[in-house]
Amino acid sequence: MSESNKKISLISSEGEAFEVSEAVAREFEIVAHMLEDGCSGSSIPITTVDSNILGKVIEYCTKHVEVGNVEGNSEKAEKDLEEFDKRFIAVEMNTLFSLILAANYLNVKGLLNIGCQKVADTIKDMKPEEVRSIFNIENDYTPAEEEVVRKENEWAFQP
Amino acid sequence: MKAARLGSEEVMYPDRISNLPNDLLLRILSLAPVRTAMSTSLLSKRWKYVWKMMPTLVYDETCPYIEYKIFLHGPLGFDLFCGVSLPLHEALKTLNLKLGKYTDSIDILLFPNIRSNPLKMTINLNYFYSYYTPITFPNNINVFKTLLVLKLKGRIVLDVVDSPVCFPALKILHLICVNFQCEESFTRLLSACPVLEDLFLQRLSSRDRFLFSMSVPSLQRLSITKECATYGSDEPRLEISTPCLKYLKIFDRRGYYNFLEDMPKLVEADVSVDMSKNEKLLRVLSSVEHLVICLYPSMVLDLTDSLIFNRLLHLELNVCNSFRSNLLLSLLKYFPNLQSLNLGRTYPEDTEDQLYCLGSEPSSVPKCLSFHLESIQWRGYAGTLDEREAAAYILKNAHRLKTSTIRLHTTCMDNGQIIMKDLTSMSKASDSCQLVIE
Repeated sequence: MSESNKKISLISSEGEAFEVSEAVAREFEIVAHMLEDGCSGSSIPITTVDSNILGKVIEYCTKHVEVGNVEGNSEKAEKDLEEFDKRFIAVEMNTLFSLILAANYLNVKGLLNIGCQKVADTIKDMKPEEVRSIFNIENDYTPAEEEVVRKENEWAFQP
Repeated sequence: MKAARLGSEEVMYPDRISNLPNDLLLRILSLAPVRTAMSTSLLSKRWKYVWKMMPTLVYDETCPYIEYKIFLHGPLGFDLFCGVSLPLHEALKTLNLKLGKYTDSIDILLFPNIRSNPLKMTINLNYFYSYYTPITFPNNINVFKTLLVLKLKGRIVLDVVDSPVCFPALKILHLICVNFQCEESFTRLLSACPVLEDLFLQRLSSRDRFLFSMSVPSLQRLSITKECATYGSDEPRLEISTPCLKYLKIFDRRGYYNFLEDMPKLVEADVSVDMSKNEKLLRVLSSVEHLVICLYPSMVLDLTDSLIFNRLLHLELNVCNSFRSNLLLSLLKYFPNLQSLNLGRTYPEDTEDQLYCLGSEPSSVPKCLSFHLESIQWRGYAGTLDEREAAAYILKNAHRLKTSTIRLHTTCMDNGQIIMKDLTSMSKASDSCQLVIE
């Protein structure tokens, strides 16, 4: 049990330290691997993630570790966690992509999944014009090129 | 609503989605409907090739959107999907097709247009007309070389002609409610799968005495069912040669099953067949550890001292019509190592004579009761004389019994208290036995 009381500092790209329990830090698979490889230092730099996003990822992992530790009544706990995930991922696009990239880099699978699912749900059943507009994607096709591509998957496009 | 959302987020941020690495884009696209994923090719040049690397493609003609398009433009969707989209795809691993109408050239449209080497393919024809869509497997097509899983379902008639088609890697084959051009089509299809391990056949009511002949030396799991096991008037014959089988499930009370070879590796069997038509079946099951079968009166004739289920640990017996204590008790000696016994009820329309009853209470206590039986579960216990006699005998003689769960029959809830009292007052050989009555 004493293991789980150990504290680890995660250092954001701005140099800010976030002190978390080892159990939470281990939710970052990249950190778990470092610890297993004998990296026993108590502070670990996460150079590609800024303070704002790192704070959020820690919030996500802390909640999941807490719920995972509670025994019994798992159905209710699971539902709560689902609700938490839903609220947690309801962020504006810029933050969403930062979270996806951070989850991918830190290898936090649950967060990566809900992030990608959120993007997929957003573009579901949208016309390409709408998707371009919502993500600010620049259409660099010439009209002729666009027509060729349109032909490739004609059956799939909205009428 | 859409416009408001667009308005608030437009032009506020740089295009971050296009800058994601490909593996993340593929992860996102595979969580969206395939139609949406494919239409992203139109976003910009960055997106042109992304969908072509998606491992899974689904073409579902029965989804409302495609149905509507077919209604508007005629049935061009599948032609375009096969003729234009499919050949562009480079990394296909799984292809799922669900077609909602008769198509007479599905094989010619589909197979030659797959450029990559898929591992899994599902073709489901789901429509209400009575025509069957023919499928043949053209020769020399690379698609089949790598295929591990093939599932065919619905209004398909398989026509496998002379020339040997070959699925050299196919491990799992599901044939669900598909038709066969002739008896040989079925046999040839199986003989074209030299490493097949898992076959699931949900057979249709066939014409008269259709012969399903299968010889698959590599087969490990075999499941044969019929949508309605007890109805229909066909009497198909199944000749099966599968010497390496480990798992067998049959749910088909019409068929005549003939296993041509012993199956010494068989571990688990769940057979719901008309035993009067399949007298030799028990003999090929003798190596199992786990058996689900109907309790039928002549079972006591089929089991003999030369046919003892030495490896059997778990037995589930489904009792048809009235339960005969003598019958059950006289069978137990053929299962000397039995650890758990599960009694249930079933309602087949067997013609087997239920009136005569063979067997008698054993002269000596069966070995499984003295040494091994740890658990008994009884569903639908109604407290008849015969049931009472069997329960009393087992409780009195099962020395190792740890749990006995008895679920009363729904019709005897009124005198449930009396039955419970009766059961709890029975003498028990095992002190540690827990009796649960529900």
